[in-house]
Amino acid sequence: MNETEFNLHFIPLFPLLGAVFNLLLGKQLLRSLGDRLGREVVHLVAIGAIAFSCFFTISAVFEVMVGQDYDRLVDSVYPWIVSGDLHIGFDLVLDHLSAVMCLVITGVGLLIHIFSVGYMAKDPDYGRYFAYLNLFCAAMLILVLGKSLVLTFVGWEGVGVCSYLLIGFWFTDDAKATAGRKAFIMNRVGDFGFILGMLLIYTVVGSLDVDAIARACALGEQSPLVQKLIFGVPIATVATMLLFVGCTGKSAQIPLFTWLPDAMAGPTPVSALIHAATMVTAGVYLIVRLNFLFALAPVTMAVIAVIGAATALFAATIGITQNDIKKVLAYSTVSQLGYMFLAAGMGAWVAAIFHLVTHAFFKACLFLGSGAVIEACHHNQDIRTMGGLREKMPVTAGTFFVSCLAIAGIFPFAGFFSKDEILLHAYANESRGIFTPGGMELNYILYSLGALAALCTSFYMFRLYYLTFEGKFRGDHHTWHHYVREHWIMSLPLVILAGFAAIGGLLGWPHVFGGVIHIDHVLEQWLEPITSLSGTYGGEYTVGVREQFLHEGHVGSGMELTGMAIGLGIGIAGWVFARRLYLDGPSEQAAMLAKRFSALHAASSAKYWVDEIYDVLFVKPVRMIGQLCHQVGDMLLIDGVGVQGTAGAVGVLGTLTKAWHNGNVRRYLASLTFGVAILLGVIYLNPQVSRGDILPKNAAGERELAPDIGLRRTFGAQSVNMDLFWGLFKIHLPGKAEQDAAARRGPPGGEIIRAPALEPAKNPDGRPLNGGAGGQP
Amino acid sequence: MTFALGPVPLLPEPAAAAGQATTASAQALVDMVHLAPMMIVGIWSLIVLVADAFARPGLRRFQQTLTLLGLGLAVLAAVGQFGHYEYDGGIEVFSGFLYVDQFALLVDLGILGVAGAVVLFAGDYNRSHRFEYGEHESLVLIATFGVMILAHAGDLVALFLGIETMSIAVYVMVGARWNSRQSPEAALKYFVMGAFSSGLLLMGIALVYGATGVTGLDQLSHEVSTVFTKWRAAQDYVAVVEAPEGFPAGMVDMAQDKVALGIAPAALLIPGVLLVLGALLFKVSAVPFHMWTPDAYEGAPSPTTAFMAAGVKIGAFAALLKLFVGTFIVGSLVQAPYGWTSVVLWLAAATMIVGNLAAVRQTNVKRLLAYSSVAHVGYLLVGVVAAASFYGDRPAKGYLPTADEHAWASNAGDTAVASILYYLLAYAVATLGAFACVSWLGRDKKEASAAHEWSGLAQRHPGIALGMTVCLLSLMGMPPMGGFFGKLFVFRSAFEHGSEALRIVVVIAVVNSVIGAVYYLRLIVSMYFRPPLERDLGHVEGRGAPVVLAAAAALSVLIGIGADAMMQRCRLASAGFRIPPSEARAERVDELRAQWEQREAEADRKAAQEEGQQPGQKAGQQPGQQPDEKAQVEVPAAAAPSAEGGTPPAEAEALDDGG
Repeated sequence: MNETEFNLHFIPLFPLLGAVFNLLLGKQLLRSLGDRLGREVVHLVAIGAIAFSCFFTISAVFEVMVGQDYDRLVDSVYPWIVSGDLHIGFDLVLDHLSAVMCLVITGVGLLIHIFSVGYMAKDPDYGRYFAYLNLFCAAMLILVLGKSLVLTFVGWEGVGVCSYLLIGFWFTDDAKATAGRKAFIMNRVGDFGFILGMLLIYTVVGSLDVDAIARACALGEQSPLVQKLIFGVPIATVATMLLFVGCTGKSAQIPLFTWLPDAMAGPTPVSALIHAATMVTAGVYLIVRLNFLFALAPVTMAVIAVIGAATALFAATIGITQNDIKKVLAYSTVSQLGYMFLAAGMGAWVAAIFHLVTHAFFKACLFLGSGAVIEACHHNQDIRTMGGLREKMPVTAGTFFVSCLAIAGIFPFAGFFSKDEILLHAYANESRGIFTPGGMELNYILYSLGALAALCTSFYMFRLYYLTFEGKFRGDHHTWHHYVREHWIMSLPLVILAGFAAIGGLLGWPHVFGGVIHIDHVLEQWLEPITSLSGTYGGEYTVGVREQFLHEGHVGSGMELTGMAIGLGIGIAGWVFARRLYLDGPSEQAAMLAKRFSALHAASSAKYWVDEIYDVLFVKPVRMIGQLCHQVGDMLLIDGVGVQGTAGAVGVLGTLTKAWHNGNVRRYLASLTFGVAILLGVIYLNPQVSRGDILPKNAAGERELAPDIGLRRTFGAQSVNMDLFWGLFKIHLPGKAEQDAAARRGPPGGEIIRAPALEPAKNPDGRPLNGGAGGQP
Repeated sequence: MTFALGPVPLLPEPAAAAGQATTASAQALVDMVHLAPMMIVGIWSLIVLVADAFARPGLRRFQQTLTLLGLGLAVLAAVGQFGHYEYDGGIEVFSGFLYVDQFALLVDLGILGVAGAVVLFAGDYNRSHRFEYGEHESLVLIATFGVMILAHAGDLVALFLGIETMSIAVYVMVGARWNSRQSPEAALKYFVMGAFSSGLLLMGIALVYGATGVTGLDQLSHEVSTVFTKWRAAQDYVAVVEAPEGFPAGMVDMAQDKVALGIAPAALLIPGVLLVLGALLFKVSAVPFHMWTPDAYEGAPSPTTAFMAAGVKIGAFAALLKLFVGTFIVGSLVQAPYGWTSVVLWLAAATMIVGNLAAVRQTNVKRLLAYSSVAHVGYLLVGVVAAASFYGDRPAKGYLPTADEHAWASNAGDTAVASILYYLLAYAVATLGAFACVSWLGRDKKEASAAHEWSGLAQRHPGIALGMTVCLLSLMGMPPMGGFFGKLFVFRSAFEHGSEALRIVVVIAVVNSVIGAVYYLRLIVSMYFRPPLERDLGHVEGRGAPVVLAAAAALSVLIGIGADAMMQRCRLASAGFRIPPSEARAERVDELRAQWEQREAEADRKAAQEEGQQPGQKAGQQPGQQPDEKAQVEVPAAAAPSAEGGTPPAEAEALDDGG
């Protein structure tokens, strides 16, 4: 591993500074510099920040990493948490994986910042918007650059917060604010799993540094992560499952996907950046980042693959019947993320990242296009009232179409390559015999699900395209005649992104075509230092197709070509089907089909009632518990008894205490005397002292100290009042014994001892002087 | 067996023989140099007093400057001494009448700071309230001198002298405001109560002396255990006395004598110790000896109140620590049923409860702060009990402690004493700031001490309000401030000691901190969120109080942020606290210093290693050389007299101890 130090912290620092600038000064600028100039300053700062980040990343990756042949650039910014054995540094690392992510984040982020200038041009909260956008980029960059999982988690939460802020950007609209809350809360559910997973890893590895985890995984099957069990399951499996729970939240997979469609309440560029290109792919990034760990947990991998495939199909079927342009794209995003998890679950790390990248291009382009459409149609999002917009906005329509081709998997657009690679993996990676439902190998099921989802994808995307841009306009005249003209600042990002969507496939040129045009699978070679870890550590999950293709011969070129042909056929079939049904607006055939499959149609358009089910299962019970806690716990116990009661009690006691101090010196002196009496009394009136039996005893069972300075026997024998201060004035002999002795001897002995020990033996009758003074026979 | 009842003088052996007179006077000179800070303050108090005779009413500022100069000299001397190896083991001066050790020097530094601050803002205050008097600075110096005697005391008599010197000067300062009715009243109350407690103290000292025949603290710590040994030796005869049947009458009588002789010293010592304790508890104003506190604090001029709240408390706690944590460390005297800790522990709980509850209802800021200071005494007493329990528990366990246990207990006890010192200093700083603010508000015989007069202070004087807020938050125990770490250290020490009662009281203390937050926050709220009074009450002219307030606020934060470094200094002062000045104590300090050096070296090595690892192969050669270079540079730095901050010292250590 060839690494060097590099000032990586500049990458997230600049967006952060931009965010701080706009948060503090944004509003002020608009007010003091005038609307026009103020907006210029705001967006120039924001765009400048992200542009700097972008160019810095590019130079770091291409000049330092590629040019000088380094595998990793690291930056130990400062020791962040140091507590006992726990050392967590604020360490950033730019390796091959985070390089890809950083390029996507800053590149797509830059374009979306530029697009936002047009989209948000009339918004009064201009500064706040760009501040949040910059803040998001900073958090996302920390997420991918973090060397330790803790730092990744910081970014993970940071993007969650920014997502919440941006979904609820127009928070005066209650529905939008609610959508923001929903996104945040569902993400927190996932984060719970993330935290538990991290802690579990920490208990075994003793560190959350990714390198340390990799070292712990290096032993493969002998690793403590596999050897140690928790509830009879290897810790690696449990931990990865928990981490995957976090991923399902952030990346909107079953069962935590319902927040993403609602998140469309935010401004559309936000949907493009956060809810399509970057944040929602964090889960995929995390799995690939920890590929060596996941490779040790085959059960988790199978679960990931199944959930990914199921999500892909499930969301795709919902997408078919949606009528909100952004909702369709949202479900499409969920579906495409499912593909990525399917790939990750198959151990096809490269394919997952490849699809992540291409998806970032075409989905961002689609979202931005939809944003342009929404802007043009005066914030109308219903595609049933659109149509024929190609005439009015040719650039948007063109780029939208290119992206549709890409997402539908039509050769030679980007999606074709990435999706085919995933489907090929799904088909070729024979399952490890973990799940064989119905006697069928898992991989065939996954392949079928994926292929079916691809058909749906192609269909709903072209349905969307045709309903929006082709046919006749179905809205009102006013909108048609007063549509918002395309502006270069919004078209430019579209064109660039469409360009990437078209040629992005070159990043992952299949080997089977290697002979035709000699291009390597660039991404696979680039990511090899990362993905090879799971090959060497995990054993089972080698690098997927390439390994099998080259070494094991499982996947022949014939199979690969067949897979491509099927994929292309599916894509074209969906396209043709959609074109027939929707070229001139919703056709009667479409309505007939909907009627024939009315149950399915209803289920799909109602999103399978998932939200309603969750509402009944989780939201309502939690609300009820919350209500109960509020009424009983908060209002009654804490507010009533706790706060009011305590305050009242303290007040009463305080008044009493205050009344005690009445300023009278006599009382003060009495109190002082009382204090001295307490001090002495605690010893002289101590029941322990007066009983004498339970005094501390030494090892031999003898009493350590005789209780004779206390009141033990004097209580019974003599007056108490004398004895309280007895020790102060004279030495007192044990009362009872004394009386006994005196009874034997006659008259009682003297009470005051006068230096007796000096001549005890000199007394003629052998008795000491004190006894003899009054007790002469 | 030599035992004497009654006032048989048992003087310590005369140290100087006839021929050594000249060396003795030379020795006295050397001793004076060792006592430089104290001597400077003492002499300066006279100089200032003389200067007053030549001062015209308009030129009082000169005395202030002069006093500050003297205090500055004393601080310089103390800074030069504190942390110096020479004082590691402690030095006995004037034949053991006074000690010069790290503990005393740290307390010196604290009290000198307090005195300097009070002198800084008292002049303005007195002028503005029209009762300027020339003796003030001199009185402050005399009181400071008294506190320093307490810190240095190596003898019960020195202790008594220190307390009286301090108290009498403070009585005068309390009553010095002739144009107010409250001030003489407060002085009289304080004086009557103080005289009573002095009587208790003297009586206690007499009894202790009667029991042991010595007054020097190091002999005392030895003699006290002899007292209990004698008592224990009388055990064999108890059985005879209890069941005399079967014994010859002569034998029974002899046994009675033996028992009487055995218990006599203890019978004198225990009440004596308790009376001394009562007197000291009065000085620190613990419940139920606290009644004078609110009246005296309210009636006294605010700068004097500041001195009482910060300076007198430091002195009284120094005395309390010296006697009860450093000297009377015998298991039987610490532990129930004959020990004092059980009662003081619950008095501590009562002190914080009463202090906080009374403060909640106060509408007068000075009374409020007075009660809050009572509450703080409660927290501090918990630490005192913890420290004494660590030192004193060992013999009381009923078996001889192993070497490890011994070391652990001594170490934990030292840490507890260090925590108390830290708490005291943090408290003194914050409370000085608070009283500086109180004294700044109001003018012309009218102090703005009613809470409602503080409303909206932040609008009128944002800087003052900010400084006051920081000080109040520190008193409240808000994390970045020093007060928080003081509480943390003290409570942690107390909690570490396994005793259940201590733990319960720690819980009570934590609950009380929350109650305390109520009145501090209420004051802050009224400063920031209430509209200001229509009539501006004005403020004292001069920069003294704002400067002190700003410094106190800054120091509160600094002490909190640099808690490690501060704690390290306190730890140095408390190392081997229970051992009288000797080589053994120096060894403890040496051990501590060696630990720090080792830790520092380790930290350096680790840092160098990490630096070495991270750059990987490329930079692989550089770190290999770095540690050596660093070590060479660091050795003289580590050997420097004053312990430098920046290493993870006592806190980490305390954590290691199992907190």
